[in-house]
Amino acid sequence: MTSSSSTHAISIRDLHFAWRTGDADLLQISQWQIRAGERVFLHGPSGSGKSTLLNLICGIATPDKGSVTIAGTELGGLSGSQRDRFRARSIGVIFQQFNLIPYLSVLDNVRLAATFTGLPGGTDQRAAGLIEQLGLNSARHTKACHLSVGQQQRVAIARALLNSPPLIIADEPTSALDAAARDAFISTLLDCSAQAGSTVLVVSHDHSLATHFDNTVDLRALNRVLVSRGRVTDDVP
Amino acid sequence: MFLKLTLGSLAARRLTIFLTVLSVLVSTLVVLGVEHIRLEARNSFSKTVSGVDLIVGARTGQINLLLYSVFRIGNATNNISWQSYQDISKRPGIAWSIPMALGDSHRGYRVMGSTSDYFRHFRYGNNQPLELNGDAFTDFRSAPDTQPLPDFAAVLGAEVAARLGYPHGHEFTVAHGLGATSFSVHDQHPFTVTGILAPTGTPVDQTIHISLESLEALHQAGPMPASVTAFLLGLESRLQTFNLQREINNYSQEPLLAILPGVALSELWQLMSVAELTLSLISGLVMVSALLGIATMLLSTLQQRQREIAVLRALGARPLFIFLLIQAEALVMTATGMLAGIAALMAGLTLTADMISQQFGIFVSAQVLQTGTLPYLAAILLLTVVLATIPAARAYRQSSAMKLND
Repeated sequence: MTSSSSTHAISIRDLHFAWRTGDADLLQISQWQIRAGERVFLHGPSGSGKSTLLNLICGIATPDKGSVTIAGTELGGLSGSQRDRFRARSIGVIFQQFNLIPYLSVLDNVRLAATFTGLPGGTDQRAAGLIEQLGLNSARHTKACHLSVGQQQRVAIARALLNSPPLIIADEPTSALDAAARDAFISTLLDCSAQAGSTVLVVSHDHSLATHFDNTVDLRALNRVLVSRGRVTDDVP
Repeated sequence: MFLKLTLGSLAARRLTIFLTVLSVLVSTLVVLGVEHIRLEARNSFSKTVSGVDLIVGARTGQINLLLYSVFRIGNATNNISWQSYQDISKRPGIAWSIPMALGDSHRGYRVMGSTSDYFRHFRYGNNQPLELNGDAFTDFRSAPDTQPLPDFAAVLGAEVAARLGYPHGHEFTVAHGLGATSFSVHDQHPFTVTGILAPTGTPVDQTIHISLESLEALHQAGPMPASVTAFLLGLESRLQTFNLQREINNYSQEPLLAILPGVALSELWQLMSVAELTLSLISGLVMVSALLGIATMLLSTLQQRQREIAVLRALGARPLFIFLLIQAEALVMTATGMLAGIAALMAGLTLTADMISQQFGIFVSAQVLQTGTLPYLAAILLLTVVLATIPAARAYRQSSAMKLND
């Protein structure tokens, strides 16, 4: 574990990665940094490596070469279980849908985020506060499978914020929402993250979201594999 | 939260889980039922007779003699003449003898003609004497100068009295033969209940005891019987046992067989061991198949649960957590099935205990959880863990290689 820079939420250096040993690299990023507290929108065409990059940032995968440093902790220096623990404590993750455990209540889904941190309790009050803040109080004991998609995404925000992580990652979080729900979701996510002081990295192919963010990054400009192959076709006009 | 996830996941698939648990319930019922009845039968048989050095009957197999004389199972192939009984029972070194004449019954309960020595010398369990509430019948052995006269008094075993509701002083008639219903009733000589024995948990509880003189009077003979079915001998010194056994087996007046109850029981267990082993093997295979069902069910649902596992991994759950979650689900299903199986077995045994004791002379307790059965429960749980390792290991591998967007 080394502290590369405490002012950076994400710092990537000389990254090379392929899912299988011997395959050609899927990602090659010389250098990329996101400042703490920054709200970044990352986009790119299908197959450009967006989800692969998220797996590397979350510590699910480890780079073949180079380093990924999150909030001052280089993930390559951690063992598998240390990376899992680090992810539980430091990264809030929101998927595009099926975010929740369907048979758990709203409250338990939110509290689930604290289960794997290895930290002592005391999160119940914060979970209840977040549920109220996100307008889910009346549904707090409802099972997740009985919620609308919009409600489920709000529960996912509450869960991502529970441990006040320095980094929140959302992967195509609005793909299952209509336009009105999409804007409401992004506004809520960004407002709540700002209150928690978390950095936000949202990955999507929907360019219209870009206006909500401090910074927009096109993965095609970062990933040297795509540049060298000349893949410049975007998946949206 | 681990428990909530385990129980919640199972509850979400309640129909599948119900059927799986049901299969474990049935398997537990079979495994524990076989084992419990086996242990109870052994226990019941071994406590039925105590302190008897030799059992003597007409020449037959020693297991057959043991079964019909002590356990009232089956029938004698022949009788022993009264003369032979008297000759042998008066030999030196014999402390006491109990003649037994079987063949009549009352409403399905066997009537046994004997002497009052039966109440003085018969022992069961851990050398416990019979406890008589009331009076024994009077016979030629009651006192040195008593004449052999029928008194038509009956001493009931505890279960006979309880089931038929006969109090002291109640009158009843006995019938020829052993069926519950008989067309040959000795109704000219009704018997009066003079005593009721305390429960023993042995076939004594299901027996109606009368004097040999009364039994003989029923058949319009007498005053003493021409023959008895068998007799029990107690010796002054156990060192004489083998000599006396050899003498009786070589008795020249009629073909007799003398057996040592313990040796005959051992032979019985040896004979039974193949059947017991077969039953245990079958019940074990039934259980393995139920537990394989759990493993198969968990394995087949892993694909559907991929998102659920991905969410847990994204939240920081280690692959070991996923492994343990699958193991816990399997253990909860097995434990639930086991507890339900134990409850069903206890209920079943409670309801059928009377029928089993009447039909087979075996007293089976409904207390299934005994030291002998606990290793079986532990083995079932251990086997669950072993078999659930297949889906758990697969979930472990899947979750280790899982990506956020899988």
